[in-house]
Amino acid sequence: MAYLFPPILFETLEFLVFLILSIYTVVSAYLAVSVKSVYHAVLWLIFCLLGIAMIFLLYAESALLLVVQLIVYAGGITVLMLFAISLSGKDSMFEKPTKYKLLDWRLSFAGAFILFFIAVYIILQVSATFWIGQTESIRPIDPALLIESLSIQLFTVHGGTILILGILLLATMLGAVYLVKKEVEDL
Amino acid sequence: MNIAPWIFIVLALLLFLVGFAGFIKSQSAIRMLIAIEIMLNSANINFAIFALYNDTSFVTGHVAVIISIAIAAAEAAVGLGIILAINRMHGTVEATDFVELRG
Repeated sequence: MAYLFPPILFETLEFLVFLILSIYTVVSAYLAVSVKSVYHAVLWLIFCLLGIAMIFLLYAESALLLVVQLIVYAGGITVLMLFAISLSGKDSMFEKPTKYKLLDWRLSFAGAFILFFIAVYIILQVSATFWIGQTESIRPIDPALLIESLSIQLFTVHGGTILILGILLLATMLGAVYLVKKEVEDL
Repeated sequence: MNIAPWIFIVLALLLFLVGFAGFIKSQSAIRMLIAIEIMLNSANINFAIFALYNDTSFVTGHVAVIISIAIAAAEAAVGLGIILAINRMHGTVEATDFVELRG
C-alpha cells in the first residue's frame, strides 16, 4: 500500500499538535495567575480549561469528560467567579501594591521551575524503569463501549461515592446560602 | 496515539507548579481560588490519561475525574461564599488583610 505522504510526517504532525496544545494550556495558566486585572485572569483561566478539555478529548479519548469540563468548569465555576468579583466591589479587580512581602513573584516562579526540573528528572528515571515498553494504550478504542462501561461502573461499583457526593453538594449549597445571607437581628 | 505517558506527567507537573507559584505570590483571595482550580485540573489530567494504561477496569480514572470536578465545584462555591462574607465584614478581598486570627 503506497502512502501519499510518508507515515513519519503524520507522527511529526501529531506531536506538533500536542506541542501546540500544551504550550497553549501552560501559557494560559501562567497568564491566569499573572495578569493584573482579575477579570482578565478569569478569562485566561477559561482558555486554560478549554485546553485541558481538548487534552481530555484527544488523548484520554473521552468526549464525556470534555462535555463535563466545559459545562462545570468553563461554564459554571468561572461564571461564579465573575459574579463574586462583580459583587465584591472595585478594589478586588486590580492587585494592590503589596504590604506584606512574603515572596517576590520572580522568586516564587523561579522556585517552581527548579522544582519542575528536579521532578522531571525523577519522572524520567522512574519512567525508564516502569514504562519502558509502554507507548500504546491497552484499552480498546470504542467510544460507545467506554460510555456504557462508565455508566455501569458509576452506578454499581461507585454508587456509594455518588450518594456521598450528593450529600456533599447539598451541604455545600446550604453552607453557601448560610454564609452569604444577610444578618437578621430577630434571629 | 503514540505519545508516551510520561509527557503528560510533565505537562501536569508544569501546570501544577504554575498554579502553585501563582498561589504563593497572590494576595487576592479570588486569585488564590483561580490558582487552586489550575492545580486541581493538572491532577485531573493525570487521572484521565492513566485510565488508558490500566487494564483491570478501564474507566476508574474517568470516574475519579468526574468526582474531582464535582468536589471542585463545591469547593469553589463555598470559597466564593466565604470571600463574599468576609468582603461584607471587612470591605476587602485581600488575603493579607485578613488578620483576625493572628491575635
